[in-house]
Amino acid sequence: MEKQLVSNQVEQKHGLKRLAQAADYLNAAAEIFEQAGMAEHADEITEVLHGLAKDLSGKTS
Amino acid sequence: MIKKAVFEEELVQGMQRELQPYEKKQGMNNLVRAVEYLQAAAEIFEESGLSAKSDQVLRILLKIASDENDVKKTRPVQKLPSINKLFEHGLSPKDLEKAHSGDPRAIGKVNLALHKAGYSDEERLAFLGEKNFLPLQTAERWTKENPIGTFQDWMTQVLHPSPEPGDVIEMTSMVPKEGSSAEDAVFKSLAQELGLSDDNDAQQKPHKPKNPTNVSDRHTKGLTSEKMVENMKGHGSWFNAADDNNVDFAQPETFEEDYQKWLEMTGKKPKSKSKSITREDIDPDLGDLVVFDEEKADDLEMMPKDRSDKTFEDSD
Repeated sequence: MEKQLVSNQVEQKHGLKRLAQAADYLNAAAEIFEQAGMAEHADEITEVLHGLAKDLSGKTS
Repeated sequence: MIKKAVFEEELVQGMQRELQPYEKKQGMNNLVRAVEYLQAAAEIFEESGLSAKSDQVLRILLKIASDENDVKKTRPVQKLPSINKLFEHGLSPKDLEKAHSGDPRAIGKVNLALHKAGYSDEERLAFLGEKNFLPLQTAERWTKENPIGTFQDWMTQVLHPSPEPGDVIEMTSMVPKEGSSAEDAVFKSLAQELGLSDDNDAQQKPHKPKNPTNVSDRHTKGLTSEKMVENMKGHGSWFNAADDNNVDFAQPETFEEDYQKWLEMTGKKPKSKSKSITREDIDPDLGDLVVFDEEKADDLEMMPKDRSDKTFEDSD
């Protein structure tokens, strides 16, 4: 059971790491679009980021 | 001395000018990177089981792609044919030059080459313009051997359609009428004005140049072997040269007639032939120059003193 718990924690950690990386990617893309004057696309990306943050906060809590 | 403020302004403006194209280029590169980021994020969401988020990101990517297509629609990029491709389809650099100068055959060739290269009529129209665009059939007709001839045929068909029974055909002669008006310019030959030639000569047929091989030569005219021998005996040449260097004067019919006329005109009396010339008849100043030979007086009435013994043949 202990092993199972540890593996689950590692998996969750790895998953979170990957999600954090995806969030970084989205953030970088949004910045680029904003710099290029494509504010509409930047806003859409930030909405995705907001939704992701909500999902993650719900999971972690 | 350069003012510092002015120098700084110029420097800033110059740097901005340099940075603008760099920023534009960088911006385009960053956009590509942003799309790659979005794609990577969508993949991660997919792997993590967050398909809703992945779909959201993919929708954003689709929007960006559709926006780019809209930009392309507003500014269509014309696909230009490569010259080598046109050369492969029977076009030559000379044809291109001629087409530029408006040669109809070359224009037809360019149209045909573009058609063979796979360009539609619309693409050809966009590339060549309305002035040089030809429908396929016309282009084929124009590339024939004599495009001007076909064009002329077409013009005659349009301007002078074939007459139908009952139609009256009127034709105007290009030759000027006989009763030409005073405004018509009339040129008269100088020879006619001076009376050197008749009007009949002017109305005759134009002079045709003779065959140069048939030019008559009095030196060879009527020359036969007998005549050649005679010529050789006469003047030491085979050719007719006896009359050369002769000057035609009006020869008197007879000496006596002319002498009589002269006597009538001058009123002098004729001297009797029987009377020989004596020393008294000669001018005293010329008396010494003349020798009187009483024996030969009938044949040679006067003879120069120094040349009395010489004949004409001996002198040479």
